[in-house]
Amino acid sequence: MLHRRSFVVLGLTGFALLAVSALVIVLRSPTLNAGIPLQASGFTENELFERGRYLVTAGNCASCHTSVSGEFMAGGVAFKTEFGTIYSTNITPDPETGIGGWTDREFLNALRYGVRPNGEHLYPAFPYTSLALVTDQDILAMFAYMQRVPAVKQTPPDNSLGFPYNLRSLMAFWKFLYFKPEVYEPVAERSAEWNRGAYLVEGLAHCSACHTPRNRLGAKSQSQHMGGGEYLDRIPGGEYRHWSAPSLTSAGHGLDLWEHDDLSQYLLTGENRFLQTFGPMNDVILNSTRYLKEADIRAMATYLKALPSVDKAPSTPPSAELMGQGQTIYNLHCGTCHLPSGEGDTDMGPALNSASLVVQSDNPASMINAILYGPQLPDPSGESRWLEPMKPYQYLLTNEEVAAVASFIRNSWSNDAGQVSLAQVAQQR
Amino acid sequence: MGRQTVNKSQLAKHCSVGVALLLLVGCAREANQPLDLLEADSVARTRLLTSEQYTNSISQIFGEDIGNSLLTPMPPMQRVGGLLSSGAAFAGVTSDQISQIQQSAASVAEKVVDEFHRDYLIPCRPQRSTASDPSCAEQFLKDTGRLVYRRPLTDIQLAELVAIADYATQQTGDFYEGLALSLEAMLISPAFIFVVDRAEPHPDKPGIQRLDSYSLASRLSFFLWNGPPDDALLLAAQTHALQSPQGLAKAVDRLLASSRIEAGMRAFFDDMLGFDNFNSLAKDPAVYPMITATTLENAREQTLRTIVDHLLVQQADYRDLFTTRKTFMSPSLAVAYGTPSAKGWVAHEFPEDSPRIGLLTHLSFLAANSHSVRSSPTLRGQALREEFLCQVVPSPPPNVDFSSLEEDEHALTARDRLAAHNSNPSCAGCHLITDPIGLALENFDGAGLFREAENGVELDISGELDGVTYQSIEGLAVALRNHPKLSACLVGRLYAYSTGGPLSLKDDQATLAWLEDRFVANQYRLPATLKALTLSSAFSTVRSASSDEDTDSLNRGDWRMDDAPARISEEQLSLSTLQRFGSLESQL
Repeated sequence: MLHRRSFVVLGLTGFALLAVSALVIVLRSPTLNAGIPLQASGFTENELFERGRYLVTAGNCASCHTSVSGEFMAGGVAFKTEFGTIYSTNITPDPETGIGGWTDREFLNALRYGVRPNGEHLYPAFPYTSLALVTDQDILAMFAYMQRVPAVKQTPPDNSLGFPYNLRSLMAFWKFLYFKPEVYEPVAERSAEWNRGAYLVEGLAHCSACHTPRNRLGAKSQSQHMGGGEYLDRIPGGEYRHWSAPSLTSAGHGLDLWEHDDLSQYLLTGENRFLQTFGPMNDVILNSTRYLKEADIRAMATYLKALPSVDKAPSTPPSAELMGQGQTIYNLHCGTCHLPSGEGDTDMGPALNSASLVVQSDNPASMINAILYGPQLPDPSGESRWLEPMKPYQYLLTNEEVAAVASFIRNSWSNDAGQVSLAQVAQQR
Repeated sequence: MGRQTVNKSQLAKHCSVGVALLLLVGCAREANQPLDLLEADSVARTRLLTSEQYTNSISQIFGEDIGNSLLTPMPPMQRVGGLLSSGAAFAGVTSDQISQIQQSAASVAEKVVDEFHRDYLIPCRPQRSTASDPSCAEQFLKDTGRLVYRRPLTDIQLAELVAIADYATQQTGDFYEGLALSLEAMLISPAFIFVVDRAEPHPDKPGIQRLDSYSLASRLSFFLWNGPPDDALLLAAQTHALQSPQGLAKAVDRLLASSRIEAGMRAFFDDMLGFDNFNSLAKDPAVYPMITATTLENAREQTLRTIVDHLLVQQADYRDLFTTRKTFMSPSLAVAYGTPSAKGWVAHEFPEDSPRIGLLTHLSFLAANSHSVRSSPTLRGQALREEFLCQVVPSPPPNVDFSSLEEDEHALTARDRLAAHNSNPSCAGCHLITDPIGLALENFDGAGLFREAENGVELDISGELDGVTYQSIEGLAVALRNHPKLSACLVGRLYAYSTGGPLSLKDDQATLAWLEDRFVANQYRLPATLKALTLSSAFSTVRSASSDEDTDSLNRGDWRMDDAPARISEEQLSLSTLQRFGSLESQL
């Protein structure tokens, strides 16, 4: 009897979901206001261009839309996800393969609603869930800039997504569940600087795209906003591995110990007293934040420093035996540069003993990547601050040794980040 | 490249995937077979003969009296991956060095044709000693050339050498002078002074390259004998017997059974232990009056004799070299060790209560890794790590402040002096991995002589080696003997030495793991491990050096794929003026 009732409930629920999906698909057909031009008021053409250039830089559009082998903004950058591989589009003003035939309204619809001019849904690998916050005026300025980018005739490779993720129409249901296209509204109780920072961090710079954990359908967790995320990206050699983006909240394993100036310095220069950028964050700092006005960087820091804490995930403290093994490996392979005290050396290696977001992160994926493959330096062609770049330990240390030394570092000195398991190392290798 | 061993766990995993009973039965049988290196390769290289290999070549081909009469013309090698022999793969020859090689070649050639040697080194006599005799010249050059070039001369090579001999004879009116000039040309040829790994397609494995028979013969003989292939080995190469498993095993057995294996392994360990330092090692006679040049020379010899006896004669466990009290003693050394000794070299065993235990307490290790007037725990600790564990101790940073290490008049022992390292964070990192090891050897002064105290203060020799603590010299010796990296280090050095260049952690990983397994399975015995190595596919199958990727360079940015994000410059973002404001025409 109970089983029969359960089947009925399940059946009704399924039917309801299907009905809602169908409704959503029909009702939210995204072709809104395609023909109505936007109005830019108070700007000369040159001012609009300059404003657009700055906003496009703040949005780091070029990183995702310019590949190593391609032309500026011509797309073709591969993004490997759990659902398949997506290639960024050509956003140069080429009328056939780029956005040359788009109206400013169609450009806005893409950024704010995640839809193409033909009504198709865009995948949220394009961060319209954040860009929706950008104002009409700013989107118009970005469009004005993009119209001046040299047109390149280039069609990026087709996406390679498995079923059912290759059905764009299903994105309507996803948007219904997870996406509210709302332009940023300043918070009256907060300072102008905080509001500017929020606008940049949450909107254009779309920091939460990496720094917020996602659910199985790729939607960001509201309750753990900026609490640290994970994504796939390349390691040296070109293969993909998981990377952990650390918590940017005021938690102890986040930005608690970073002063406002530490954060500003990091975003402007890629390094501060706690950390030097490496890995995928290089693209953010070197292609975007270092070009921004100091006032905006400080606004971003102000906003980030005020983010409410997200508790760290439960962790297992390593055993004394594991700590001993890790210390031996650390002394031999790490301590000569990072020093036995973990305090680092200005010429030899960064500090590991305190406030390193990479060391303290709940998820040790990025730290393991740095150990196994070496931290990709931010500017390989330039002069390094270190006497020698850190070498990869992929072939020098076993999984057991990497787990031991990572556990030792994460639980020594001021660190309290928990044990690194063999499985976590094996996943990264 | 990229080929791997198939180990038991991989096979088991593979088996679990299949469902067909037949497949499962097949896999089970395969998994039960001995672990073997099914497919692996090593880098094909061109390397310069080392000084000792040059001398050994001349001695082996023309006699020891000629070989020993020479000052070797070969340049010193740079130590690469812990071995000078690996530096030979990167060594070039300058014009000055070519000139020295030519002088040496002329000297050898002159001796070979002189009246004392010609009768047994030249297999024929010319019809007239004042005129050319192409037939006799060809006979000599063909036979000798095969030994010098370590493979038969081509017809063109032989014809050119005979022509040189004939021409020179005509010019000088002396057949032997003509022959000498031709021999000189041979001895300055790259075919002699370089060992070239020539590859050929593997007949049974498409796409795989293997050493040709003569290159394989050279790799075998230079590894096991530190000299060129002899006639029998060249014959095995000529008949391609070396390319069959049975033929190769037969040849390896012969090489291992030869007395020349001692010279080969002495050369290897001399290189591995950095004994070239003894060529310039000296102790201040005012501080150590009983340490003479002979003492130091004997110290080197003592350790090599100990190693050869332990590993080759006794065929004992390699690890026990670090705890054995058995060694050899000479009168000169007996003075330094404070022990009675007979005339000449004799076997010697230190008593159980002696502080002398294993290689670390040999004069060779203690004196070579000290300053000229005092001991150095740092140098000793560094040497232990680098020579026996293949670990790298970084050089001091260039901006290090040594002022804190100036002589402290209150410091009575090395432990006190080195305390400054711990107080300076920049120094502490490296010294933490060297000093605690070396301090355990402070009962031996800078010359390796035993002492109870330093400056009247009893020595504290407690310490720690990678998590193992000890209170005595014996404790350190046992800690090293049981160190998990000791075996891997030896097999890694052996592999690099045998293949003529540094190993690749990436591409040789499977080979090294397999070889260590073999070493363990053979109870850490050297001869069986040498055999396993020389019979492995990694020894005779080759890859090009270009595939030996430098993983260190990967984190310098050259790894970015075509479809990865590009680095964006500020100029790119700003666009050009033309792009910003449209056509020039519209601006006008």
